[in-house]
Amino acid sequence: MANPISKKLVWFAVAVVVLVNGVTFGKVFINRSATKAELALSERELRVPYQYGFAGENSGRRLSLKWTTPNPEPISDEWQYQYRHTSRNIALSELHFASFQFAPCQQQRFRRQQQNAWVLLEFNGQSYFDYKANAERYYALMHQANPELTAEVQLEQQQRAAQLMQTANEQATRLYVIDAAARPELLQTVLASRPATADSRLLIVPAVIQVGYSRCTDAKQLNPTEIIVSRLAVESLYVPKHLTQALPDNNGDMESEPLRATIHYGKLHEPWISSLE
Amino acid sequence: MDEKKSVTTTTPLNKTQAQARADQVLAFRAEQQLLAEQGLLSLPDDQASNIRDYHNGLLQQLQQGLNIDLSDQARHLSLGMQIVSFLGATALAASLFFLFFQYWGYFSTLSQVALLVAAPLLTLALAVWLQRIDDSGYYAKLAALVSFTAWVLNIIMLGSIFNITPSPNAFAIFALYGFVLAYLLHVRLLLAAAMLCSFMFIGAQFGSWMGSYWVNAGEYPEHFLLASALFFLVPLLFNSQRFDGFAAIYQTLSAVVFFIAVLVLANWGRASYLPWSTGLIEGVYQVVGFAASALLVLYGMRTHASKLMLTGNVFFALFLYTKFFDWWWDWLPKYVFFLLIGLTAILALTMFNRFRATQQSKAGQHG
Repeated sequence: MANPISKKLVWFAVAVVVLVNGVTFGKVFINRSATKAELALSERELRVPYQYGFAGENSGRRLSLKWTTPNPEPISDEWQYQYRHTSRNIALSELHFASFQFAPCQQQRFRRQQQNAWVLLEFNGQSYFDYKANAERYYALMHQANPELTAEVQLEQQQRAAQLMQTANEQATRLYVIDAAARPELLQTVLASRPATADSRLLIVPAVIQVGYSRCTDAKQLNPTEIIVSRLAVESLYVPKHLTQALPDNNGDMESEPLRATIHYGKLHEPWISSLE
Repeated sequence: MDEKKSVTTTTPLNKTQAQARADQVLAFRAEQQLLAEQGLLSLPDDQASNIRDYHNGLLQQLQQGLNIDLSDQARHLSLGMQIVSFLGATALAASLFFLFFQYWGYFSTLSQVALLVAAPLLTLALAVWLQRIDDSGYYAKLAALVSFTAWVLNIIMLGSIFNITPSPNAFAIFALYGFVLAYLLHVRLLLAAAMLCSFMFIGAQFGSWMGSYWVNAGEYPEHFLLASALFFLVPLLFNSQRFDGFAAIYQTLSAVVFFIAVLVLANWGRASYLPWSTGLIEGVYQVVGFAASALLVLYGMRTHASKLMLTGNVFFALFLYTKFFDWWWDWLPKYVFFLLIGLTAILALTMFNRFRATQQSKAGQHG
């Protein structure tokens, strides 16, 4: 180690470790120095992520965000509707869709066309109320007498409508991705014009999106500006040790366990959990 | 051995060169003994003694300075030690990962951060200290690999703890530390790891510039072509003779990455950015693949780089056989298809044999 180049390399390696960690902590400090949005989420919007058989090897705890996109279709009796919460499609305005500058469709060419984006996230706002109102309307519709159906079929429909309404009122997530664009400025005008209540929250966060599956097919006329929100850039949140007591011991389904979590989004749009009950 | 002469070499040797020098000395001794036994060579005692002392001093110096092997047994043991140290390093790295994951949930955030930052620094100090006290260098290299793992863990876990948006820049940071450790402790495995991280980073950056999400960079092989060509040139632009085997790693790994990318594009032109038909794209990359692999074989022969020659040969055969598969698999009976493959192998063998004979006769004439 007497070699001066080796000595310099040792100090360079130390400097790399110190500097990179310093920059990381600096970014964390800047992010957490101000809260841009605060969300009071419950077990409806949070779940324990699946650990692919490594739960026993990992003592750290995390919570994942459950979110959806608004469904423009009216509620139907089809079974698929029950799984609508897994859908992640949004039809954008032409301006917002154009901001992504997706490559033109080419025959025999592979393009996943997945890219970074900014999305407008709405918690407990208009999208959720629309969904709830739809469920209530559907419930009322199913309880109207329909002479064309047998009593048995009608009862079955009513039970399903009641279940749907209960899901909308008590279980379904209230966190919606309602818009997306390549630049956050484009979403600011939507955010400003969106109706808000005291309990609702709107925030712009980074995400990953891809172009709708039908864009380069014959069905493109139906949804020419549709995109799929693949995931939020940060979707899984670390639970610090002092908050883990509030989490259930098992890593399985958490929907039955009541939970209250306060999530903050900081200056750099990165979230953290400040309280968990 | 008692009176060792001070031996000076004109230029500092790396380990491969020192081993070749030692092998030359040992071969000279064996041949000298054989000739003496047959009565063909009889050196005066003082001259024989001078040569013996000089060689003893030289071998001792090379052994102490560069830890070369002075017998076949030692050479086999060295190979075994290299394999064991690679397996040990991989196992220790995995162990460090799982150890942290197993217990990190029981620590406060402050303790986690302290542990994560301290781990690469402490293991770096350990590697430097081990290099001082252990001539073989195996333990220092092992510690260096653990330090690199600790660094990767540091960055990944900080991102996880503070919910930081994932970024391809992490690969650049891994690569930087990997390169520093590789050059500091002469670890070829770390050089390869740092190069792979660089490929990931450059590919992801190209992907972002082309408008796609960085995680999907691997789906577009053209992202890696320029980076692999640049890495191939590194040993030609910078003298790395001091770092034994580094030039071979740079060029062989770059060539492998380059040819894998070209091989994919030669068979799946849909993944290309080129604005041509897929048939034309595949045809162009097939030509590039054949030409580049043949050139690599020639370059390997000229520079006496056996690994490059082997890489060129393997990829030339792969390009050839994938074409055979495209042309003939569907319409030829399978026995004829495999017969053709076998015949091309025999043809290649004949060509190599003829070429070898030419080389041997040239070497004989020079001798």
